[in-house]
Amino acid sequence: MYWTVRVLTLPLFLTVSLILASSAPAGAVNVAKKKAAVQIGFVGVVPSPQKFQNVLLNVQAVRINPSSTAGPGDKKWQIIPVPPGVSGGQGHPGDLQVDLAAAQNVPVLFNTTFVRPDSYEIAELLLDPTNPGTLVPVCPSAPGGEGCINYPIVLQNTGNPITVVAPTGQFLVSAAKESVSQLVLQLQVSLVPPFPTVSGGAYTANVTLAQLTNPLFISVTGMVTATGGTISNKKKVRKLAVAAEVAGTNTIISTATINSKSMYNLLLPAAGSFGSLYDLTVTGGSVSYAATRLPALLQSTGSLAQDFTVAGGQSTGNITGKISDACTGRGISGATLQLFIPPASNPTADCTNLATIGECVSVASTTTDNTGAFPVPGTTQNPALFNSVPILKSSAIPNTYSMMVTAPGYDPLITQVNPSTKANGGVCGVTPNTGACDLSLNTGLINAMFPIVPPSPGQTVLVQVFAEDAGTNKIESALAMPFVVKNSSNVVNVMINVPPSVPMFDLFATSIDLFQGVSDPYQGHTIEVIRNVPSPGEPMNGCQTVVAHSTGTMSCVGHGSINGTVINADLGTSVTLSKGGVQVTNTPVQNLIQNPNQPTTSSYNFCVPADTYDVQRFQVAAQSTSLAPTATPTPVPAGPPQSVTIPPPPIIPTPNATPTPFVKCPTSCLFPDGTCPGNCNATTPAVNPL
Amino acid sequence: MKSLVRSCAIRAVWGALALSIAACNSGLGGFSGSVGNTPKGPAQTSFRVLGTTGTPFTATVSNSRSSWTLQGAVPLSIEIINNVQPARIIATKTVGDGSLLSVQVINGSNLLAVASTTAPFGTVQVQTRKKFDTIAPAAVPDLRIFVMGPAGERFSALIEDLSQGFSVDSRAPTLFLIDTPNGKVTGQFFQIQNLGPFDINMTLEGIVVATAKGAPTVVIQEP
Repeated sequence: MYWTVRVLTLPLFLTVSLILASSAPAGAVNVAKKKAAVQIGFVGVVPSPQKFQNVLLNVQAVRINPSSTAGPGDKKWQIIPVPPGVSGGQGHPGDLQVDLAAAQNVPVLFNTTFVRPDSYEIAELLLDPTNPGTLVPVCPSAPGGEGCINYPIVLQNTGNPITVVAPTGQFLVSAAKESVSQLVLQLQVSLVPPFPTVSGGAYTANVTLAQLTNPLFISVTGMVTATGGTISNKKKVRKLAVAAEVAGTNTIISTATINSKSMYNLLLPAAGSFGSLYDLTVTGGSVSYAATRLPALLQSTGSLAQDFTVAGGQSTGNITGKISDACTGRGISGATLQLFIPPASNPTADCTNLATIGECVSVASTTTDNTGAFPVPGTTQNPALFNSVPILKSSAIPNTYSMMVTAPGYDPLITQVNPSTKANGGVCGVTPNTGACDLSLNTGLINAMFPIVPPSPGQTVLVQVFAEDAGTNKIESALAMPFVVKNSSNVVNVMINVPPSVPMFDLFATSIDLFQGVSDPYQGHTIEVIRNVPSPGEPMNGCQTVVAHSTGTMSCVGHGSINGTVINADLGTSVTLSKGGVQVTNTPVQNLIQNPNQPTTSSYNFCVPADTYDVQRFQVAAQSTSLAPTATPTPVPAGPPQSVTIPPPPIIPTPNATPTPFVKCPTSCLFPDGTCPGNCNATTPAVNPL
Repeated sequence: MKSLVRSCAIRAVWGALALSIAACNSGLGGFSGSVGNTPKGPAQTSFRVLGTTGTPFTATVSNSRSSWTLQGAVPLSIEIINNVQPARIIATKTVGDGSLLSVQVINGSNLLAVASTTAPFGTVQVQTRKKFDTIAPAAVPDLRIFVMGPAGERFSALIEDLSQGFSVDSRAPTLFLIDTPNGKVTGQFFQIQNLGPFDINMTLEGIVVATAKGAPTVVIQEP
């Protein structure tokens, strides 16, 4: 149930700051040893009056300098780079792609890193010099003609630094020893005429930087007290740290290592007056795990104190094993394993039950490798989380960890587990029936068939199929590889794995198209659906299979857009798009926050093929700022669905010849008679605002 | 590029001597020339699958000759060895949350394109600059080398078949897709940061056929 909240909230404060991929977690804030840390966040302002589905900037770094007159080569520049795991890392190019369209409401965390303690007057944004960004205009506002495709950005003043300078006598940020300071930058993209005259042509853009001074990040501080032993941040043990996760998930927002005074300090994005929900975990060192769920953080919260008490002097061990398909016996690559404990805010939470595990907090997670084995390796100094799990004195419930194993298309599995010191360690199962952590997951199969108008000879169309719980937009699985449709095919005939414990599924198929031979971010073929497919059932002498047919035929129709607004929307409001009663996608409402550079629009857009759909408003209730919720809330429909039809693009009867023989159409696909869909149309629901 | 290959070749020889591992065709392998003396290949196309650590995904990688499907988790680098342009990756998140999946295509040291999604089970695709009209058939043979760890370790690799050697710099975890190898393949891996022992496997048609562990230099050979 809680996944929907993730869908709604995570993009708002999409965090990439402390994504740990290397031995030295980038941005992991250890404010000890006289160091200072600065946390950078972005808020987006998109071009107007044109409408864009995506406004993407490829950010390489932000750098700050104590002197507003510092030259490019000044030695006092302090660089806050893209974290490893997000970027390609040293020696390889790589950017963090920030979608300003999705960063208008709540700041996007960029990174946190150490800087020289000082007061900084100037900040500079470093974009990828050869590929600074991309715009995806909705239909039909693209001046070049086609919408819902990529238009590259060319900077108006290439080579000129993109900077913001503090007012005279003031500083952008003062980085003090043993503290974390925030610098929230507003990125604004303005378009400069002339606009592109061809589809996919380059926009000239001016990117500006400004500082936002209101407190968009909330400070969470506290002390971690160890009883009965020491913390022991010795080598070959992960550093003791407090991490903030999106509530109910294992998605880490920010991590702070404990300083010499056993203190931590986190700065967390707060969703305006609506609130953001986080779980805090204490892991690492030689201490027991601890966790809690926080009440909703508002921008008006100011700061929050949260102390933890842990058991010190703990031994750590390993949990290892292999995850396999119960039907085939083959290892499952990319399965996710998480350890759960009850949070201090709800110490009686039952972590052994799938129905209530959302009340618990994920304190460690890993994935399986290409053979299904886990965990994937860490490093000598910073072992994988599953290679440094505190060993429990007793293996009886509730003194074990609950480990949940999930993989798309499989039933989740929860087992009790305790680590051991063996290299191939870990004991799974309930005492006394203990065993190795080689586990298998149940699955079933749906043989789905979607008729399709075949592509022209020599061309292919790729189709991806998704299965979701019937009547919801909780997607359970997708094809491991898109189905390849050739000229000789007229049906997409696929076998898709689904979790057999789910009683009913909805399926939908979408194409993955090319636009004039290059990657197209949105599809040009109709989306086809199959409703209420019964579960194939649990395996009995092998996997069970059910067959499902679509009555609609996937066909080339070209792009389209739905543009609308929502009345009295807040950060818990979203809009869901359905076809034939099957939910296909949803979007948060954009541009809710009053900004001096951009009037509030409370708008939403969908880039979807020309067709008939339903749009419906969903709402998550605001959360208490004094009590932590037991589980994260679920969006519920707010008002009836509204039908909307996107008119098909005009037909181009005689496509122009191009130097590339297979690219005949000016858009994304070709009709069987050799004609093409022209530039796309847009529509607004009859009921607007929702 | 040439100097890089030379440099790797020298390191390969010294690494081999130091570890007393017979890493060239002088006995253990099927190579016609000594290690590092195979002609250098062109700049290789690589993909980075980045974003929220641990985000699971499925991906299809293709070039004009072959295609591969794979499952994994962020972060992952993917290198096509012996690539034939154009190359393309289509990746689908296999989790229904708002985590970030960002794919980047790189040729040599040039970032060619990047695409990202935070949508539940969102799909993204990027490609090199040449145009596509179709997707190539599955690779034959489907030979892969997966450098699983240590996490974040920067390394150099020299991957050779009978006729060519490819020098690659990357960061673990990295999956090497060997496109249409000429004979048996050997990979040599040289650590730069020494964050822990290498953990490497080689799969042929999905079956593990060789593994290698150790530091700072390891060799893995197709049996």
